[in-house]
Amino acid sequence: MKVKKPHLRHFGADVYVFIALFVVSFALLVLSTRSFTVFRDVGLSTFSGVRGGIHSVQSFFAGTATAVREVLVLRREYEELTERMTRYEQEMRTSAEIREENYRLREQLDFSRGIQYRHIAAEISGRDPDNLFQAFVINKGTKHGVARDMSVVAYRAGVQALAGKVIEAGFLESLVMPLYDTTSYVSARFAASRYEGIVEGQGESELPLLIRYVSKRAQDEIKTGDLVITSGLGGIYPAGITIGRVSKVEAREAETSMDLELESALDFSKLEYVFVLDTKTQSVTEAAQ
Amino acid sequence: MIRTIIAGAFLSVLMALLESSVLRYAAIFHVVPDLALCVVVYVAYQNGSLAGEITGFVSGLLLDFLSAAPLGLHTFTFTCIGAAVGVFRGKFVLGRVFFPVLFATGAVLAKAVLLLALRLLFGDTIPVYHFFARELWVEVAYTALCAPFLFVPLRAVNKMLHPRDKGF
Repeated sequence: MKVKKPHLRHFGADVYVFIALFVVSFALLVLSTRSFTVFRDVGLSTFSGVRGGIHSVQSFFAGTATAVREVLVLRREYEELTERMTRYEQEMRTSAEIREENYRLREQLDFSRGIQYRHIAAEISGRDPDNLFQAFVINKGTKHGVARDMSVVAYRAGVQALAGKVIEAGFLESLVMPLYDTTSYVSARFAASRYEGIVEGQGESELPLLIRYVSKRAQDEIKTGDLVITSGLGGIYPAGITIGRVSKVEAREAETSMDLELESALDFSKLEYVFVLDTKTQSVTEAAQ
Repeated sequence: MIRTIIAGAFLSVLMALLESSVLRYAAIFHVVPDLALCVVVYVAYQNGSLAGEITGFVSGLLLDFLSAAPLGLHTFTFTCIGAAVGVFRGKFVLGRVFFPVLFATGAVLAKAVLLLALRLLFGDTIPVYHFFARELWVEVAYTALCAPFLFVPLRAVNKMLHPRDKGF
């Protein structure tokens, strides 16, 4: 009598490949959450030019559409006015745009001259493609002197304020974690009372920042509108950079520290230009002295 | 199959770059559709689990380079989703609207569940969707809405790569 051999199930190649890929991707995740990021710099550098290229093309088409729209308006006015007045108005429009752009750039330049540290001006050219991450992309990278963990500031209404931190630096572009990211932690202090705390983001630019672990003794000294600045502790963010102003004070009876809400000094929805601070290199003003 | 994987990974990264640059102007409540994931879903459904998981691995890895995500996050999620969707290959006709919407919806929800599982293992370094928050459901709806339109050019690419294959 024949003995039946137990039928062994054979898995297809897809199952073995899936197991291999599963292990590899899991290993990558394990390594990356322990700051294994050398790999990523190479990858980001590889694609940094492509994203910059797409941004350039997009800007070109937007500019072209604006130019075409303006030509149509000017042609209509030319029919109504004399030839001389039409030429004059055309020149006036062009110079007005140039003046406006000049004013915006001068404003940024004036701010730039006032920065103590060596700094790299950059433009925001993109956002993180994943909705769960708030990082934005700037068009400067290691080629321009940007490195990981450099502070990023911006200028609004005459005030220098903290925007975030460089988390990845590719060759031509870099990723910046904004202040309102949930993984952003900034050592801060109140400008007037000098109490310290940790500023955290809530994941959205519309939501207020939180400053936690503020000593409860500060309850009587801190009020709405107080200025919060970086403390310089931790070595990443230089001291004295504006973060925001207190918008809400909340002290719970059972807790030994307070959590307060801050209104950020920057409007991140309108942010276009930023400055990356290089605090390790001697600044121009220090060198001149 | 190699051509399919390369094309799929390339298109997935292209979609990610578009999400990063152009689509941010079309964001709804700061949410953009996950078109990169849709490409992986399409490749997996048309070509099976093997092609789907390899395409998911490669495109996920490339997406990790472009994003602030921990290296391996999208690699892991896209690989798993590519492998899972590939199981359904040939089970039914893809159609123009219903199944693209269904697969896109399922893929985004599967991504959310996988992230939750990873959060249990890795802690706060892994961000998760809050299942009652607006952002997840806006992403589900927006991705599902875009999927039928994205699958049209993907079918054309698939026909170019496999002219004899009638597809689903």
